[in-house]
Amino acid sequence: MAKAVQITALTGLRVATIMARRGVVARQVGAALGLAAPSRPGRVTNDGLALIATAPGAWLAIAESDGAGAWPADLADRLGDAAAVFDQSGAYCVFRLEGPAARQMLQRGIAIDLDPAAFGPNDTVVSSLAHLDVIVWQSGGEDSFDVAVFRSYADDFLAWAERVAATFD
Amino acid sequence: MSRLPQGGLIDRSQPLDFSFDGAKLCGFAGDTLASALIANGVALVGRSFKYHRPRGIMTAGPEEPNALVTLGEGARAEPNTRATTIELFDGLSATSQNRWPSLKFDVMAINQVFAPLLVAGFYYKTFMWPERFWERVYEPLIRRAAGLGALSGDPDPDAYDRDHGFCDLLVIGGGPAGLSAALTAGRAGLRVILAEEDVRLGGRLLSEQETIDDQPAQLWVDDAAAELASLANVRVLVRTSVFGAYDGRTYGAVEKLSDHLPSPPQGQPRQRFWKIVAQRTLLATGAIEQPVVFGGNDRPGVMLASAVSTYLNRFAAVPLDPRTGRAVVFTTGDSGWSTAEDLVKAGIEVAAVIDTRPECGALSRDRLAKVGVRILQGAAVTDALGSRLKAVRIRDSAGRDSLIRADLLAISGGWAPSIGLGAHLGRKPVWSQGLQAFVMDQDAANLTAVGSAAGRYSLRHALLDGQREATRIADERGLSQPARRTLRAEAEQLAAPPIRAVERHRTKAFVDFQNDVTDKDIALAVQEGFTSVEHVKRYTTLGMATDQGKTSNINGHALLATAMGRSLGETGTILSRPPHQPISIGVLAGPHRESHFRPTRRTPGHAWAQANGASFVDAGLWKRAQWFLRPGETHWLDTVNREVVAVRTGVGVCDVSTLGKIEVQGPDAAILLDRLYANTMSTLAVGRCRYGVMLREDGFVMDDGTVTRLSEHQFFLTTTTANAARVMQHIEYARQVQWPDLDVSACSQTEQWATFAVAGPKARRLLDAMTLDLDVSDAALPYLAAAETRWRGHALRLFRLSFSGELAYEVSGPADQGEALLTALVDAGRELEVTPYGVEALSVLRIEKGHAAGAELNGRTTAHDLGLGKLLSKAKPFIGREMAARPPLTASDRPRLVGLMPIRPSDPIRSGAHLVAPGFAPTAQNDEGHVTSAAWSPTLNSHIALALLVRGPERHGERIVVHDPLRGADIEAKVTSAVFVDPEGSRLRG
Repeated sequence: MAKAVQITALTGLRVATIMARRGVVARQVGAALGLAAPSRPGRVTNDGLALIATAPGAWLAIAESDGAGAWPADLADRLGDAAAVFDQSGAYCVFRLEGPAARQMLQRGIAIDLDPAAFGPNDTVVSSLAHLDVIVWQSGGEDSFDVAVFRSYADDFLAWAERVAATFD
Repeated sequence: MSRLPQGGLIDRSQPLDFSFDGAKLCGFAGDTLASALIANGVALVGRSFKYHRPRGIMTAGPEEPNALVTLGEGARAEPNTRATTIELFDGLSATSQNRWPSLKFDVMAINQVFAPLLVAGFYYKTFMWPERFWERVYEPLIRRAAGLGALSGDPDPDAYDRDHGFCDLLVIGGGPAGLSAALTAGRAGLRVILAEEDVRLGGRLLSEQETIDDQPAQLWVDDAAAELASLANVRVLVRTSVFGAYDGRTYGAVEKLSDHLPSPPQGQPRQRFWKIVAQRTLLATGAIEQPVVFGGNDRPGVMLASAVSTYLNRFAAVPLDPRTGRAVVFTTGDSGWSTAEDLVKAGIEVAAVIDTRPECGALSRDRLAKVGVRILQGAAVTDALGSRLKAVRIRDSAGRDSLIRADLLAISGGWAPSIGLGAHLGRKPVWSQGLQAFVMDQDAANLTAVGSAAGRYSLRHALLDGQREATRIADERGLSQPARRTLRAEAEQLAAPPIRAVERHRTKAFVDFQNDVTDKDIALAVQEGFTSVEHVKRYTTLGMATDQGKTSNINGHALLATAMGRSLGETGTILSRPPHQPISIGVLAGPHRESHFRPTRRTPGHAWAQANGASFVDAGLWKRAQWFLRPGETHWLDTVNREVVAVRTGVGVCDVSTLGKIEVQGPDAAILLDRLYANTMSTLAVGRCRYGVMLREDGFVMDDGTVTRLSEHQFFLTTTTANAARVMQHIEYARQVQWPDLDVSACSQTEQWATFAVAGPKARRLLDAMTLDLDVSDAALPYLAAAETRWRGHALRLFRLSFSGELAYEVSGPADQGEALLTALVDAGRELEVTPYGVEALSVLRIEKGHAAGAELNGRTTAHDLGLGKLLSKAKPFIGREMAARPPLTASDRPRLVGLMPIRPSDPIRSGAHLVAPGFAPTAQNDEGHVTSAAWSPTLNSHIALALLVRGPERHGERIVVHDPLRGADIEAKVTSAVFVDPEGSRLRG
């Protein structure tokens, strides 16, 4: 019998924090990267690069690592004077939660409405889950969610996830 | 056995065995513990709190004040559980409370003899003399006598869970009003959550023999339940009690997942704590029947009339011997009459119905009179007699007293809407003269009472109310739906006239059953001047038990009103407080207990350290390796000494990833840093590091750390572990609020980099063995230089900084490569006998070097105090500069940093000890400072310490007395420089 929720640690992601410089708006940041940078909690993707708004004028940029080029130097080059770029590839662990109970399971930990009506495919949640700071977005498919958590908290997140996932089996 | 041959909602095909006070008994699936006890003829279930009076089951619901039992055994034993709310399961074991040695013979019943002394407020007037008896005699006695039930003392073995609910409409209560509302809203497409604390939906319809559309109401309930289950936008939560209403339209609820089982299934939680945010909420919690105050109204055998009906109709359990028993009904309104009819239908002899109203109930009266029931109107029961009910004394309309033999007295003192939740946000209930009840202040737009909870007791009103309110809410959202026809149901009202207490009774009359408060206690309170409801509550303890006065507040406040010559409306009532029902503390904690109380942060080197014998210590949320025990080492001090010596003579590796790291970027980065740090950073060259001190706005030292310039517009900051977040906040405040015109960004990098200190005379040789693509000679990488290179395809940074005072490098790689980097460093140093060292050795090393750390950076020291005064720039403004110049902060007699060495090296100096000049008495007046950090130094073969001493730097060479009354005798020490090892700093360079 398939498990209610499958938990996988994603590896090889490139992550960076982008902070718009003084006087620069989201549209300019997006233009430099070829997409519409969200200015509310949301996620936009283009050509293997995802931009997730985490604060006013700040985004988390995530790319698959098989993309060629130096990271985040290439990103910084494209952005030029528009924004500051900080490598976060080592800072975050991203876990993928997949399965019919994935949404319900995340709702157990997060005090923000995750119902499909309120949390759609392009929405993100920056919140706390079991006292851990997390960033959550949907990763293609109604039953698949990615959760980014600081590396030092990864063990705690995994322990929470495994314990709660087991209650659905 | 007192079970009716048929009927009820119990499943007779599923018999269950259980025990009460060791007696083996039988019940059925669908029973509560209370209904099963009644069916087994158990009349005595507990002893009252103060007087230890024998008590039986009084109600059939969560408002039960008497039948408080301890459910379960061992670690799962839960005291003060109401038998009326416990779902019976096979193997259930329960025991009565508050009695010794047994329920039948309780020694503490002797309290009843002392009753005249134990009236309200007695403890304010007694136990005062002789004074010395208080601690040794009175207090222990009171503690032993106080309390109800006992905890097991074992840790809670069960797991608890959390969930979050969001909806357009929260319906609290699954009776007719709630079901009607949920159906209407659900059909209209709203997101609905329906919470019902019982195991099944139906509410009052489970206990009464009502009809809807001329069909038994149970059929309507079953259809409603099925339809709600089929709607994807409706979530029905049974066994779920909403216990609190909070700001932000938020409600707390507890879902009992496995309390109806002997223990939770493996891996499943026992209960779940729900936080529900609801745009609108309907309170469909019904009403609670009230007792009447008369003599002996607490006797086993006296029960609320609606409870008698519930036991008969829902559980087919009879609260008296069905063959020989006699029942009497005492009512102040219509609802007692339907109980009389239920009793007659069940074949029980009803000796009399006593109604306080002079005129009433024509239909019922005739029906009952026909079967021989004696009807007395304008009469009252004055006393219930017998330690288990044997007879009732009544007074008829002419004032004549007589006795009626009875084994069951069903009483009905009217109904009170159950609106406790409505008061949680501070709104006091208002008195409705028309309804003769306290109702919710209906100003609150988000929370509306419907049906009986709004004082509209008829079934017809319940159904209509639910439908009407849900429709209104759906219309608000623009979701209207076709009007459904109105259901036909009974329309009678049940409002009771205001007779709550009977005068001139001869035996004790109770108001609050759980706290043993009598009508005389209320009178006493008034006599002594406590005339507000709040004072009466606290003076008499009326309403202060776990039932929060659900069956006592109205009567108590009515007695108060009468005594004061006021109306009940003028007297008012008290607020209910969350939790509305008792809840377990475990469910509030959820999974966050013991080691999971807070998150644990692990460094990139954690797994390696664990595999290599590290013991860990908490540093805030972090786990840090304290030392690395080697086989054969038996005492931690031996381990730490070995590590310190290894760093001073060879090379050691320490995980310092926990230190805060912040990258600051932008054209104005240097300007910002100059304003944040006391010393100058704008002059720092690219590829160089500098030690920095940050002051608070008030001039005291906030933190110290390092700054490295990566490029013209890029700086890399480090902070202490403890202050990482605080410094980040400080920088963000400066950047966003104080100087938003500066073009600068800052980002935390604590998690991005794994950092390891490689320290000792052989440190460079270890780096050579790493064969990095980098020249690490002293010429290329001098003290306070930094460089970046690539290692195995990843960035690698080297900072030539030293906390230990030896030749040292901080080696950083991306955190996901941290374990690989640490492993490589240790491998590279194998031939050099590289020694992993932990925070204990780290601490000894820095104390030997006089470096300030947390104990010195305690928020009360200035830069001058720490010997860092020269760092304060005079050429630029910086945060804290002006306040740091205040005279008290620059006074010459402030305690300042020095080192201490005991005259006898083996004398321990401990941090916290105070310093007194020799020959002076150790008093506060002569206190000259204290020890901040102390350690055994294997380098100096002596105890050493850092301390803050008045005029310390001028007193090097002097003797001082270290006074430590808590932990040992005074010792004498010498004041020295704080830098014990290599004061010139030559080991840092070259």
